[in-house]
Amino acid sequence: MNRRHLTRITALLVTCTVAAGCGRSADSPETSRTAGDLRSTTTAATKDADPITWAVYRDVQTIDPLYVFDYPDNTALTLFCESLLRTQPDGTITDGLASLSRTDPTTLVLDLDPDATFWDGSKVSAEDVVYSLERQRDPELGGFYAATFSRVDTITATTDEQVTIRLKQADYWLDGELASLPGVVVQKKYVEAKGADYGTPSGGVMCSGAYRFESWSPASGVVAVPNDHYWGQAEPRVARITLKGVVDEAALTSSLIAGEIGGTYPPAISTLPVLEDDKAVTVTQGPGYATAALVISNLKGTLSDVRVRQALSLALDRDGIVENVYHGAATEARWLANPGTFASARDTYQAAYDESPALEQDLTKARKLVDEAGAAGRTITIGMSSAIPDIAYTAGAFKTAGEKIGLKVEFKSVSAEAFINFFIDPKAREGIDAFPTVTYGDYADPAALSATVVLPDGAQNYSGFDDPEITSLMEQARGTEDPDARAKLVIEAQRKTMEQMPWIPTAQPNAVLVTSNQLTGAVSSFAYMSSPWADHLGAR
Amino acid sequence: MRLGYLLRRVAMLAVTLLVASFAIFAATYVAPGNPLAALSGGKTLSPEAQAVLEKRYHLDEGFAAQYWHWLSGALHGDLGVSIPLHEDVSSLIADRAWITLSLVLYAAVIIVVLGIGLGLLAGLRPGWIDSSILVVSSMAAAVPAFVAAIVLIAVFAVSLGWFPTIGTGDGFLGHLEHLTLPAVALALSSVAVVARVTRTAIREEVAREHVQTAISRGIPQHFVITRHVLRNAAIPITTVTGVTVASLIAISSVVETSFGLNGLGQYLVKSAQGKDIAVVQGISLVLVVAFVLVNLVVDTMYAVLDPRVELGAKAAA
Repeated sequence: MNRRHLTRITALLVTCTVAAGCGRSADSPETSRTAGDLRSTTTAATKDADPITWAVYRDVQTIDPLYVFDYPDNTALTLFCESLLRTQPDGTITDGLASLSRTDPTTLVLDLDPDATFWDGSKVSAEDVVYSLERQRDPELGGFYAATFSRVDTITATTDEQVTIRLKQADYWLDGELASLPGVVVQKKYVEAKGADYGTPSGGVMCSGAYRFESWSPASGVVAVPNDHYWGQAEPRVARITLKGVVDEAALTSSLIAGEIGGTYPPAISTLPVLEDDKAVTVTQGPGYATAALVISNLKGTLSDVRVRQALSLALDRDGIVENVYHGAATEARWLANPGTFASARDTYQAAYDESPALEQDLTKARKLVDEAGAAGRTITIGMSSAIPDIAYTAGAFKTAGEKIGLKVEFKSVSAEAFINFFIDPKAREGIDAFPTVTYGDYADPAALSATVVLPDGAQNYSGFDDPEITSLMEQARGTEDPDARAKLVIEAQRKTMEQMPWIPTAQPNAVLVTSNQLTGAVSSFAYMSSPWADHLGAR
Repeated sequence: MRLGYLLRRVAMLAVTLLVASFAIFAATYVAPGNPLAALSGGKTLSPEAQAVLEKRYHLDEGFAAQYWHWLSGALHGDLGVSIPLHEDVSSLIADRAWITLSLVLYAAVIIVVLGIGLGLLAGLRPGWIDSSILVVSSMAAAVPAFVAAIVLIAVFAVSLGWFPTIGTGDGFLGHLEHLTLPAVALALSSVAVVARVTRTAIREEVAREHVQTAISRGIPQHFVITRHVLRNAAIPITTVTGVTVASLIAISSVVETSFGLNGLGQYLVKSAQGKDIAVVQGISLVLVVAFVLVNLVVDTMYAVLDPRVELGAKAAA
């Protein structure tokens, strides 16, 4: 490594730590990325690899599928456990522990793979499946995914190897959920034996994946080793994978460059330009499911008029956000849904997306809309945290946008830790009209995230947004079997959503995979969040 | 006398812990943030799920009741359960305590050896050695631990590849190798402070009448230095070393973060952010105990170093 390089890294790391925000340095080449450059997987490994450490942005907190919902915990769970159906790297769904068929629109039959076994060698039985699913939808357990089973009536074991799910209403969104965390199968015997310790450092888990749970010490990380008797197709080649929380971006960057960390899926990393320029590491960008947006949380104030929401969107400098927050690792926003979620009916979705208007800055049109709405001089209060760099940048971009078109924008800034309260505490949202976020749906489908935002009972519908037309399109889509016909309904819903702007999308972050250049074979799309990502990982 | 002194110190420790625990509990209670947010990672919880979780962790009860739950548990040796990890706080702390302990000990050794050594050298060898040590220590004293950490990582780990950048390693030698850069980063500014105080103390003693008299009488220099200079300079040196080492416990979190060490300091910061109150309480107690113990050691050393100092004597006496 030459001196200039070293100085640059040192300077960048110091700046990043001191200012908690780093821009692209002036001499780095501009790389433009389009959706066409994105890869879902990396070349399969050809050799076995020595033990590696895999970084996650904070320590793993739980591997109980009921409570797993964030990058570190998902990365751990999908290393060990498998779902009934499997999300492939390109987002499409295939057989997993079971294959799915429908005898009629409201009767789902899951036939278990007769070879499927847990790590202890016992068969994955229909009883385990029923137990796992019932556990997910039990409101008493306080799991996160109970609502996804809202159309499910009964779940019964019809034979030792077959489970039948009866629905109250047809539900074609359930397939995606069963191919993600709500569909993870755990061993009944093990969960019952561990009780409250299940999924914790002392209790661990018993699953069926290609990597087996070895140990978990909160201070040193979660340790996985190959399951030599894996029932499926994978080839676990890494002798040991230790998942370790690395909070500090500077520490993460230097350890990746020094080769001490084998890889990571950073949700967003300010040192991406340094990592991309370094020959010791490989950065791969893949399709993402996440959307960065301004959540409209109050439809009674200045933002109640749809023209003001549209104007704010028209005035926003989205290129600045893509460049400064994502360092180019994002695609342009045209819908609420990230194009990375186009899995089934891909061509139909992509064609419609390409035809949709790009969200380009148009201040003249925006000012006109504000005037028409009679909103000039009125105030918008944005909840934000100046301690979270990407949130602060996005809030700032909206402030600039609002002020350019005659609105007043005020901030309600809270600590980094309190920011999360905007999502869970209605009291924290009092007095604010909007706040920035980055969020994703459970599986690769444009409806997965949208449903939580636009449906009146959606989990992320904070403003009470209710558009009967959009609701009707979404409900119809949920009950439509043919993927293309379903896609057309969702497309129409996306178009109307973009006119109504219940949220204002700002960018569509890509999935980012950083590995040592000795390693290859990891999944590089957002599918790593819902299905095994290390099955083909190994040495180059 | 000594037993009474010890009992008084233990009683003081208990009172300190109680007051500290109350203050910390109250502070985390009123601080913004919601413990369930840490658990849910921001995922929207249904009202039913929220109610179930609040009941499980006594979050639906008032401040006094929550504090009582914690205090009565702690008296039975149960420090509670971490909300996000569903794990006993005592085992969580034990898992990380050795990292912070070894880091602080390692740094303390560096401070004592290098700080006092350089101070002695500067104090006894006026001239270019003294000036160089003075200049270097002025610079080192001004470098915050996190900047030292970044520079050390960039130079010795990433560029030269002599040391690892992250983690704790395996086995004794592995730990030593992994903890060297963090310990240096942690110790750096303290080495400078201790060196300067030592230098001043030595100078003062050397200039004293009895020392000058002894030297003029032709008593061997090494005898004068060990017998008179060091003995009298030892009290200010011990004081500053003790205070500096005790303060390392508090600033270790910065270094732990930079080197990806999951020690107590870093864990305390993370848990405070996530409002994982049981963990914050547990770690705070450990830190308060450690601080008080270090001070106790320093006080005891006064008596050993200078028999005129009486243990537990009033300041005015």
